[in-house]
Amino acid sequence: MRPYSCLFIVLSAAAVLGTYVRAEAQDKITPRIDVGYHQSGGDRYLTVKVRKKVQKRFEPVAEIPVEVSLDLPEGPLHLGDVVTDTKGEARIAIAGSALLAIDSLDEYSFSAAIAGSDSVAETSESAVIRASRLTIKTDDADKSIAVVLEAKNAGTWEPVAGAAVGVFIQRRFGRIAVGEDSYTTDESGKVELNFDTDIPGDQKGMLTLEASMEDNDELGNISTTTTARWGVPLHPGNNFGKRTLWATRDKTPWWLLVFPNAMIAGVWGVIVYLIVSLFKIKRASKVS
Amino acid sequence: MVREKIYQDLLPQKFGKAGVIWVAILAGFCFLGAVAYYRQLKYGLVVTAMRDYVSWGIYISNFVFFVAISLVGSLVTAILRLSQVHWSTPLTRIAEIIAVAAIICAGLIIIVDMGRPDRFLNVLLYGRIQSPILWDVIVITTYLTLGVLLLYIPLLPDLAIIVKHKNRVDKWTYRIARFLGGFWKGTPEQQRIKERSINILIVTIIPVALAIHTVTSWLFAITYRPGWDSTNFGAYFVSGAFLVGAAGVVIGMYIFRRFYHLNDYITASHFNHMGKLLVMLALLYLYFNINEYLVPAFKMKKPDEEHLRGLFTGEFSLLFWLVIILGMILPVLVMLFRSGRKPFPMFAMATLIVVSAWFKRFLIVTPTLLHPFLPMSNVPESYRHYVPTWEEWAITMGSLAGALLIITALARIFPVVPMDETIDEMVREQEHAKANGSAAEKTPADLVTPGTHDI
Repeated sequence: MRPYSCLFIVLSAAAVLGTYVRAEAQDKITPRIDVGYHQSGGDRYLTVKVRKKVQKRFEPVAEIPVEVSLDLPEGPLHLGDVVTDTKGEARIAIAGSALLAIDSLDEYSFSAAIAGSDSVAETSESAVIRASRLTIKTDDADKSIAVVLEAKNAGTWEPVAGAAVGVFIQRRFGRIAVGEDSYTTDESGKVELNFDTDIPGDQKGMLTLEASMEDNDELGNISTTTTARWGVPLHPGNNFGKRTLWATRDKTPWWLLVFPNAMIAGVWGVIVYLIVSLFKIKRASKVS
Repeated sequence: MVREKIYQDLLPQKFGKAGVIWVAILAGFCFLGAVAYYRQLKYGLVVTAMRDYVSWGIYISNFVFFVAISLVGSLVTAILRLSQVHWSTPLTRIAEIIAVAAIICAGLIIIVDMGRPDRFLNVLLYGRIQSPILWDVIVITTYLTLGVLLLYIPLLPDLAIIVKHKNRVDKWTYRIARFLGGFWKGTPEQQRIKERSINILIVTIIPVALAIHTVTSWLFAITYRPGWDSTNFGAYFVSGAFLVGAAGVVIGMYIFRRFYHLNDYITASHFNHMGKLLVMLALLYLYFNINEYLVPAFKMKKPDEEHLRGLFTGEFSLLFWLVIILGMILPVLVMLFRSGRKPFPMFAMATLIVVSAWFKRFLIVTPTLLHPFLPMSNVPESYRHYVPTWEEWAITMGSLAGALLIITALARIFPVVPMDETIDEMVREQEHAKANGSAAEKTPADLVTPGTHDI
C-alpha cells in the first residue's frame, strides 16, 4: 500500500502544482492597445485604450501605466506616461515641441507601450496619422453649410474624397445631427447641405454647428465648430423678484403663506387651549 | 382587596436584575453612538459613507422609521377610542409611550444628519415655508407636543394614585408623580375638563398624525426621481406607519405582559384583536406596495427600469424580497389563523414586521439615490455604492437604543397600563356581562365593585 500512497501523494501534488502554474500563466494578461488621435479646434490629444480578451470578448484593463511617444525621424519624443481608468482609457494632450513637430510634418506616428510585469505582458502599438484639417462655413443667405476636408500631401493641402463627415448642432448635453448622421465627401473633399429646422437657439438665436469625422483609419478624429444665428431665439421667463416656490423667504407665494400658517395657527391654538386646560385642572383642585 | 391587587400589579416598581442589565445594555449602545457622533462632529460627515449621490443614508431611513412608528399613538389611542373600541384601553399607555419615544428620536436623528447641528436654529430663523423640510420640522414639533399631552392628560388620575400610595413606590417615582399630578383630586370639574381635553386631543391628533407622515413622504414624493415620483406616497407611508406602529405595540404588550406579570390586564384576547388589526394593516400596506411597484414596472420607463431591476433582481433584491415576504406576507399568513394570534406567535410576527419595516425605509431612501437621471461620471467607485460606516451604524443603533431607553424610563416611572381607565373599562364590561347574563373574561375587573373610583 505504501508505494501506491506515495504515488497518489506525488500525483496529487503534481496536479495541484500544475493547476497553480497554469493559473499563474493565465493570470498574466496580454493586453491590446488602441491609440486614437483627436483634433478638436485647436486642441490635439491622444486617447489610449487598453483591453484584454476574456472568453472571446474584450474587457477594459484599469490602472495600467502606458508610455506614449511621438516617433520623429531623429528619434522618439516622449509625450508622457498615463494610467488607464476604470474604462481602460487614458488621455494625453499634444502640446509644446510635439505640437510644433507635427505641424511641420505630412504624416506622424504615435507609439504607446506597456512595460512588462509579472501580471502584464510587454506590449506596444503605434498609430500613423496623416495631417488633416476640417473647415465649416455657413451662408446666411440660403442657410447652407459647407464642410471641407483636406489632408496634407508633400506640404500642400489636398481634398479628401469619400470620407464620412457628420454635421451636428451642439446642445448642452449632447448634439443633434443636421439631416443624416453622416455625409460622404465629394471629389473636392466637400459636403454641402441646407439647414431647414427651427430648433431653439440661445437668447439671440445663436447655434453652434459642429462638423466631425470620427475613427478614420488614416486621419483619426477631427472636428471643428462655427456659430450661426439660425436658431429660434429663446426668451426664458424671468421670475426673479416674484413670489414663487423657488424665491427667497420674503417672496413666498401668498397661498403658501396663508394656508399652512392658518393650519399651524389652528393646531397650535388647540395646543394652547389644552395647556390652559391643564392649569384649569390644577385650579379646580383648590375649588374642591 | 381587589383594588389592592390592581395597584400592586400596576404601580411602578423598581427594576429587578433583568431590568438593570437591560438598561445597562441600552446605555452601552447609547454610549457607543455618542462616541461615534463625537467623531462625526469632530471630523465632519466624511466619517459617514454618504457622498455626492447618496446624501441620505441610514440616518434618514432611521428617521422615517421613527416617524412611522410614532403614528401608533394616534391609531391605538385616538382612532380606536373614537371608534368606541374599548378593548384597546389597557394598550393606550404603551402606544403613547412608544409614540413619544419614537418622535423624540426622530427629531434627534434628523439633527444628527445635519453636518452642522449648530446651525439648526437657522432652520427656524431663516426657514422658507416653500421647503418641505420646514413643513417637517413644524409638523414633528407639533406632533411631539400633542403626543406628550396625550400621554400626560390621561395619566393625571394614575399620578394621583401613585401619590396616594407613596409607601409602595420609591421616592423618585413619588416626587415625579407629585410634581406632575399632585394637583389631581378627581373632582367633577377636573374630570369634566380632563374628558373634554382628551376628546379634543384625540380629534386633533389624527389629522396631525396623518400630516406628519404624509409630509415625510412628500420629502421624497415632490422630487422627480425614480422610486419617489409617486402620487401614492402619502397613503403608502401612512399605511406602512400604521402597520409598524401596531406591531411595535404588540412587541411592547408581549414584553410588558411577561416582565411586569400583566397577564390579567393584557390578555390573549388583546393579542387576538391586535392580530386581526395587524392582518388588515399588513394587507393594506401590501396593496399600496403592489401599487407602488407594479404600476411603474408595467410601464418600465427607462429611469424606473434601472431602479426597479435593482430592487427586483439586482443589488437590493435579497433585502427587498425578504422585506416583502417576512414583513408582510408571512405575518398575514400566520395571523390569519387563531393559533397565530396567540401571544408568542404575535410577538414573533410583530418583531419580523418591525425589523422589516426598518429595512423597508432603507429600500425607499437609498436605491433611488444610486440611480440619478444623469449617469454618474468622474467619481470614485465608492460613490456608486452605499455601505454605511461603523459610525453610522453606531449612531443608528444608539438612537434605536435611545428610543428603547426612553420607553423603559417612562415605563419605570408611570404605570404601563392606565389604572383608572382600566378599572372603568372593566367595570363597564362586567356590567355589560351581567346585563347579558354571560360570564365575562376572568380579570381583576370581575372582582371590582362597580362604580367605585379610588380618586
